[in-house]
Amino acid sequence: MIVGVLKEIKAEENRVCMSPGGVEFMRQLGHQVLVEKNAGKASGFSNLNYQKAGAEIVDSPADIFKRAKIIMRVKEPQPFEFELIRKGQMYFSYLHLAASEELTHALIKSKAICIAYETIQKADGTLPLLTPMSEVAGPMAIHEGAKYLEMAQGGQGVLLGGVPGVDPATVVIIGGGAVGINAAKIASGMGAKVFILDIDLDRLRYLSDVMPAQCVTLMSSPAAIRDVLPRADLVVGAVLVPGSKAPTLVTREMIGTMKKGAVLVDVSIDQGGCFETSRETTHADPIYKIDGIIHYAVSNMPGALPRTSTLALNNATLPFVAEIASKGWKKAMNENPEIKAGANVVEGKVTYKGVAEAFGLKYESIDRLL
Amino acid sequence: MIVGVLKEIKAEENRVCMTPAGVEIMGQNGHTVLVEKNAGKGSGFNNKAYETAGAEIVDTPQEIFKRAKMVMHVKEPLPAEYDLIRKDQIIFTYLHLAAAEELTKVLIKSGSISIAYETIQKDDRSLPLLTPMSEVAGRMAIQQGAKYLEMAQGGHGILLGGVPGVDPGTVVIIGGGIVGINAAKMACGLGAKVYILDMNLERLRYLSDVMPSNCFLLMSKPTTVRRLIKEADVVVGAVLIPGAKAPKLLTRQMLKTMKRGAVLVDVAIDQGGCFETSKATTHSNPIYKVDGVVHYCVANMPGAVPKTSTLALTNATLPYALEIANKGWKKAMKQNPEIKQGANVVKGKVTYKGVADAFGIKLTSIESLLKN
Repeated sequence: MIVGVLKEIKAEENRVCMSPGGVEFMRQLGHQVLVEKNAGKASGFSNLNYQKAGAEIVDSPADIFKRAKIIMRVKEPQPFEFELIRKGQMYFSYLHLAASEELTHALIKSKAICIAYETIQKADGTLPLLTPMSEVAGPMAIHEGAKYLEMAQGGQGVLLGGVPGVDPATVVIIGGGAVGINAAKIASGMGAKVFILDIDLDRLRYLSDVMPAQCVTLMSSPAAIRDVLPRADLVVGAVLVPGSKAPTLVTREMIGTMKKGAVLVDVSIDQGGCFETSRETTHADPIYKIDGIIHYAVSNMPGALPRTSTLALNNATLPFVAEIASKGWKKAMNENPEIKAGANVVEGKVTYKGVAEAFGLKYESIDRLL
Repeated sequence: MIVGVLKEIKAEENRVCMTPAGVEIMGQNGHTVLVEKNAGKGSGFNNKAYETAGAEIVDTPQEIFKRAKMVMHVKEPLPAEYDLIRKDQIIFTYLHLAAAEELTKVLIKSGSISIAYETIQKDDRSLPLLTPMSEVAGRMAIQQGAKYLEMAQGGHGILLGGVPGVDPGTVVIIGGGIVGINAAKMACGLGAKVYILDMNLERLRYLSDVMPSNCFLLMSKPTTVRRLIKEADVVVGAVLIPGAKAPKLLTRQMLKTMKRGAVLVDVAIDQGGCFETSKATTHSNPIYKVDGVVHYCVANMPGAVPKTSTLALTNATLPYALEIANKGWKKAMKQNPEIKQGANVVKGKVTYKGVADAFGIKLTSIESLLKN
């Protein structure tokens, strides 16, 4: 099968959806890979690297849309590409359709098979193509917190890990999932006092087993959040409810009880944020202050670290794209329910409930199309 | 004794030389502490906190210089204060005189007893009033490295700790002293691959005993530096030769062999820097690029985290300030050789060799001034 690897065109997006290592693997399975010129540049992969791995470098995205059976990307198609998507073509990337009505309609119209990274789901409910990005965003949240606690950045001037004889900072992490545990590992590694809040008691037990002793697990509730916030120097919002808007767990009133110059990092911002005062920012202009509290709410945090993020994402996506390419989408979905869960819009029908509900569109079970 | 606590006036300096807790201890020992209005603000201590601890809040530095027997600061006196220093007054602060000829002459003329934090020295040659700031700077260095590796900041987009299935970053720390070990602790805690280079085999053995297994200890040689910087994502310059300029361990030539978008953090910048391409920057404009490599060379790094730095510094300075206040400077120096080492300019004489050498001024032995 011919697989097309598009260059990312969204602002601040430097990842690429397939590394030369992935191209080599696809070639070994007998597939042909077209890579758009300079697609891997920001992630540290030259055109020559791709050619050596067996890819064909293609100048224009239009050419890739024309020739490839599967189109891959990190991010969703942009409006000027809508016309390029062909009937029966597969588009495999992050789509986040529930937040984009225009794109949803364009994909319905295209009659393509649109499989979203973010809804591919394992039997245990985990989202294997979101996990790697959570693993990047979690540690990064602590790096950002440490940096913006500096006084010249607006923070109160506290060193996260303290020094011998001086109290370390207190880090409060709301949500003990993939973002939360990875943030907690780094905060603990730096020597901070760490609280993780979660509402799943089994998860708290697991965290208690694996985390160092300075990491305290707390059952999350509005009362527990109110209790720890006044002590916090850094608060990380790490809440995800799959396919829905993040709940607002920290209200403006609660923020009023915090130390001036403390830092909030809202990793949930891609799902609307879990602090009432969060609004999306960019890597170029990442922070703002409300009530003396620094807010860092950059959407797509892993985009800032494309070398690590590209490899992490590729490690997770490659087995799926290999299976789809080797079997075709129908057989792959019939045999692998994880891939089936990724079907969002297929041959003009909306096959993912969350998307159908968001825009009042008719939902069609993917099983009927298989 | 009346002790005066001045507000810092240097740009980007938010520390304060005594906390309310320090004031309380001074009071318990029978001393009076004058604190300049808003001196503790940047470090999170308001005037009320000082008053509650027993300090008298004073509006102007003039009044403090007039009334206090010992004047404390974090940073050296600035020109506006030169004329205020009185004969026989004790000035206790960081002075760094070997780099400041004008200030040295002013202190000679003043007839004061100027004791420098940075030359107070223990038997084992360690510098107890530099140590806390090295601890802060070392830990901060890794935070800077992690931040400036972000692509939007000019870095090449690597997460220092990696993620499961993806290589972590490589951190090379040149110098295994206080800065180096603290930087290494943070880098190890983030999950990076960490190399510390040092020339002291005993120190390397100690580091090998106490550091986690993701920290590799290497004897520092030019060939080792040349080999490792090619792999490095973050290089921390953590070299200190007490009282001397830092040696240039990474040349412009070597820089060319590094990854584009790697980050250099030169903690030795206060001593001139240990990378050939280093030039001092500020917290408000901390980085620049040479040959595609991001340079972070902020002088006075600990100034950015004044709450932590103030506590760390005052934990170390308070016992000395207290001893000087309790005994007077002569008796304190006679009984405590560490304090004697701090004497830089006393009653018009230069008593510290490094300062005398720097400006070709006659050195007077401090011992001769301690008689009678």
